[in-house]
Amino acid sequence: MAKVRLLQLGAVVAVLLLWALIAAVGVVSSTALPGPGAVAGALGDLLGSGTFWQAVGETLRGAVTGLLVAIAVGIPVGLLTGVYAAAEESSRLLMEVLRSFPVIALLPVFLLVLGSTPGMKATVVFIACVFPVLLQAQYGARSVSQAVLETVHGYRIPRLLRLRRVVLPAAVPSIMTGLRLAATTSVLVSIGVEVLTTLPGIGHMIMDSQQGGASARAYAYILTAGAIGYTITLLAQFAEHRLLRWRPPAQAGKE
Amino acid sequence: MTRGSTLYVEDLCMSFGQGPQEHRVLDGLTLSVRPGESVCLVGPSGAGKTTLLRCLAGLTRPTSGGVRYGEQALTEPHTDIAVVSQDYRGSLLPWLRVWDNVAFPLQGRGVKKAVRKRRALECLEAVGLSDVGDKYPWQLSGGMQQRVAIARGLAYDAPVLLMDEPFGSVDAQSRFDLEDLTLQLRRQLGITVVVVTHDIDEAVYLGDRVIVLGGKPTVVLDNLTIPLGTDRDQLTTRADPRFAELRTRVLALIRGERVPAGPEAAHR
Repeated sequence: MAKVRLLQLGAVVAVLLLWALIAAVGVVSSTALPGPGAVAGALGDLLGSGTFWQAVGETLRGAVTGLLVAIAVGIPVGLLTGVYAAAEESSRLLMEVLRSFPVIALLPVFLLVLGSTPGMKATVVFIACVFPVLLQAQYGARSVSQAVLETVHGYRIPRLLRLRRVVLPAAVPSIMTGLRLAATTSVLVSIGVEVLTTLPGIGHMIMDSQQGGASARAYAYILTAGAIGYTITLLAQFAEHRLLRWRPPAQAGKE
Repeated sequence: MTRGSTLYVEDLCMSFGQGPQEHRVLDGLTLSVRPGESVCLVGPSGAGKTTLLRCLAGLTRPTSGGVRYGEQALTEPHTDIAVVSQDYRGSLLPWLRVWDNVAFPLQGRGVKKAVRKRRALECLEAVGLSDVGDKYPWQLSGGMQQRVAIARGLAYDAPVLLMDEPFGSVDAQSRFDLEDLTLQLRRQLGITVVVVTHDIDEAVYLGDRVIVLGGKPTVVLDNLTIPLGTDRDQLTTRADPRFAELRTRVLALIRGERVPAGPEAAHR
């Protein structure tokens, strides 16, 4: 285990060295790709500044708001449509069409309808995130085994209790997969909207720094975005681990 | 100390498929189980024993004929009837701890958490599982999981307990223990027990009556009273000459051979 960790760290160091080498040799101009040292310096400066944390806050606010609404809508709708075949069949075409829409292409429409507001950003995030959650919840709800359904029927478990303590837990492994996807998407879309509009946040700061010629700072923001994504993945893994304690070790992490 | 009502199966027929593909499995079964009785349904694999039990549980509707519980027609699962299914592994909810699995049917009845947990632990103790309440099902062996499924049936506190091949996949020693447990629980609680099995010895050992199913399609071949009393034990009961005679009789029936009726076998 320790050996694996060491190798993983080695790979990161190797990439950093390669980056430093490319920047030092001057294959790419230093405005297009500043060295790791310059970027680290810029990041250090940013960590102490209020604007940086404000930008991070703005991006996260859009991402988290959209994601939470997507979860609040996606899980119940997914479970219900998964349990009731008629609901799934009647909504299938609509779902297929809606999920195929590239959200970013719809951005001009949202700009027109909702204006360039934080609410618009959260809405776009919501639309991008709701389908992975909803479809995975639907899939998970359909995965309840026949034996379990029959037992629950035989013991006359009421509908709501069945949804809460049978269908939902059975769907959790699959929902977590959708959630991990949605969580990374939420930050991605939030930053994307900021790049394309004038809304404040990390995306906006990247554009701003680049146009201002401060490319080291732009890269510092880009690294920050990466760090946020990585943190979310870790959090999702932690949550998954907690929620799926009931699974035998051999089965854990298979989904 | 008996509870509940009599289960009646009346001219029950079950077919699968339609039209020319129609395949009749059960053909006009009529039988009844009185409160407090232990009845074993025995027959070869594929005879539709499980289908019959599912009809008794209200989980499946017969093609024609019906099942009554007292005066009520059984078309849906009834609160008086608990079912322990053959697939105990699949019937336990893997995300609930063992005690919660046992208590879950009670939650459906609105029983408070503290009360149902106490009840679940009592029932687990009754099946010889006193300290596994906080484990998850996968942490238990097959025999223990089967006990959990039985404990769940007991916790439901139903006057009628239906069991489908309940001891089919446990080792021989656990099997004897579980058979004795079933007899003991029936004596203590006065419940009605219906056990589906393909094991003839088990049927004779557990039943006050053994209903022999067979033929194609399946009919009731015989309905034997087992006059071995209520206090049975693995060593002496199985060594009893009447036991040997009864099991031979059942085996012959299933194989379709004729046997002379023995003087001891009270044939109804």
